[in-house]
Amino acid sequence: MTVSLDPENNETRALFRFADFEGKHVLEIGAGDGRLTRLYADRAAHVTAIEPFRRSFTEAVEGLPEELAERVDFQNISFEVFAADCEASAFDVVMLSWSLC
Amino acid sequence: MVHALEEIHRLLRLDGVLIDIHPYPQPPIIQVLKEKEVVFAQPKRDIEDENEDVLKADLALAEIVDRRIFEVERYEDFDFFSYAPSVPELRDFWDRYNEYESTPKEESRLAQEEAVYAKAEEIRLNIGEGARAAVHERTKIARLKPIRN
Repeated sequence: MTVSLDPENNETRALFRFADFEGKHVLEIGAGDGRLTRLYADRAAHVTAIEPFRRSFTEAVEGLPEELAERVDFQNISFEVFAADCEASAFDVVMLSWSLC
Repeated sequence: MVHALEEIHRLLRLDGVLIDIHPYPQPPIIQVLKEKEVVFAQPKRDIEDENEDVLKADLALAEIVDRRIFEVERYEDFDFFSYAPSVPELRDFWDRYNEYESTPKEESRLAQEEAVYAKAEEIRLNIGEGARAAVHERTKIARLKPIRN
């Protein structure tokens, strides 16, 4: 990739100041190509990362390191559909990463 | 958007947290750098021309805080930069990300953005070796805690 995103790690440092992922069950809404997911997933107990757009979802799945495969569940689904089938109080951390808008 | 935040409230455990990261509504700044020196910096469009999707997100967050569904525990700003060897490469990349924006762009806005990109690339080409393009977005991160009634 010729584009370098946040090489200063400003976002990463802010994220780890704000959220403790250690041993947590995380829901990431609008995971895109999994850029942020890959940064914190090794700390979490489990990550459910949902992304409604097929192309981004495919990139996320293909870019996931093998060692995170057991821990991260990428789903090609909208939040509305996901939430309708999800039980209450299922997550310790919910992440909206550039996806609310 | 408010309904989605209500659903997130339902999905979170009592001691859970919601982390929201999104940029300010003002347009991002297109930059050209020579090594580390910024030689060109201009908003992608008029600074008053705020991103409507971001404004809607801000309003939705304000509403769920007003209604005491969530409370803001912590809040910060940070600078998010992306870099590319040329303006077209940077533009292609961000256009791909932004194709999911729900608000269609008006022609005048597109023309304005086109002009800024063209000017930036012209400057980059004139500088030659060591020049690169960047986008600067002022971004906010918030940690919100669900309130149980």
